Amino acid sequence: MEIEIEKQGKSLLIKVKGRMDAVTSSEFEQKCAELIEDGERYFIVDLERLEYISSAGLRSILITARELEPDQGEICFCNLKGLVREVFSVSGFHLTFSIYDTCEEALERSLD
Amino acid sequence: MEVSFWGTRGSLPAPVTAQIIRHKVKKALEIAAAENLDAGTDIDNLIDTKLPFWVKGTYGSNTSCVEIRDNEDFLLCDAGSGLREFGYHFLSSHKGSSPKEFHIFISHPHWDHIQGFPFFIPSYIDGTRITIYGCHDNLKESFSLQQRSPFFPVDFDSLGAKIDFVGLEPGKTYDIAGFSVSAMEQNHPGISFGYRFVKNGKTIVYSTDSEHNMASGNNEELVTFFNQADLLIFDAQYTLIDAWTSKEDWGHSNNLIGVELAQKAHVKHLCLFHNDPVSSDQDLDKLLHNTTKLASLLEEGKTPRVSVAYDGMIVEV
Repeated sequence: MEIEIEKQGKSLLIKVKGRMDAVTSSEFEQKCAELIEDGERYFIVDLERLEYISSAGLRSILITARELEPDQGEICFCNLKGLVREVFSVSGFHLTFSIYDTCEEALERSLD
Repeated sequence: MEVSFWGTRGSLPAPVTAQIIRHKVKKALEIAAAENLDAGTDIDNLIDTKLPFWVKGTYGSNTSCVEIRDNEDFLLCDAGSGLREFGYHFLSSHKGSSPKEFHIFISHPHWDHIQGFPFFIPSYIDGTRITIYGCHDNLKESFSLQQRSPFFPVDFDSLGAKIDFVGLEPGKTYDIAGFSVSAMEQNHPGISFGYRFVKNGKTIVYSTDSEHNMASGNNEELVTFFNQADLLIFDAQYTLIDAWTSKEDWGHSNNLIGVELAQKAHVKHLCLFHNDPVSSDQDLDKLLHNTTKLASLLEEGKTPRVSVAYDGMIVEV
């Protein structure tokens, strides 16, 4: 899994590439924990190049969301495709988190 | 070997109302009209090929009761309100025959898993033998309690059948009615137990009221318990997000974890079970559609066949 981070105003655009499964999802969780530790509060996660996500990946996302809660932080998602879109839908994550078609829309409507 | 589902709802029975039937009839007529229904139309074919299951049927109302049938042996998993239906079916199809022996395996004594027993007519018939198996040490007390005054008019100890309780130990293998049976402890308030039944190379696993929470991770013990099952009956009452958030520690699982575990364990047929009583027939059709699609997309091993259990469903194993 590869993670790229761009600062966009007060938000962070986090681009995730590859797989989020039992082996790799801890990388995402750990990276987000470091960013929260550094004072970041608003995450937009771009999943366009995420090929695969399992329940372990969803677990990492939920843990990150819970870590953001005490300081009124927020995590949202954009560019969901194929399997990733399906997993978000089946798991009910699409009803719990804000999902945007594009990063631009996420930046415009969600956080800034 | 046949597996018959007599009760598939979780928590409490969920009867169909007149309004729900009307909605189904209206939808059926709309579909029939669109298909230009006339006197020459093959009605059965129209029902079979054009109507979705939620329109032509229902997932049903009764709480957990599953029959595993092989020859003359009657094995039942749990004694929810579906046991009443099984009892009536047994009596109507075995008229004049001698009383039988029933082996009932109890996952746990929560009410929705034992509430059918007071209405199990064979238990009132002299000569019938009923053996109730489980890993909880309070099973007899639980069965007696629900038939005690003022809850029920017939005391448990006055039933005509000879009823024995046999304690099982998880991890051990038992030979019962020709089946090799083992139990596994599951995460549920008050603890529940799953059962693995093996006979003639066929394996059926009954795993309901089992929570796989965020802390569970990869449960290799469960994968081993489910390994190569021809049929895995799996609690999928909630969505994953509900099971991990608002309904955490309520003791139930979800379809996504079911697919992942089934794929890891190379299960042939994943049957989602313990349907949420608030789920409509349309919701459960959607659950089946989504889970089947998900199973084809996730790549951890071979894709299992997926079904959502309904009252009256029969699976050939």
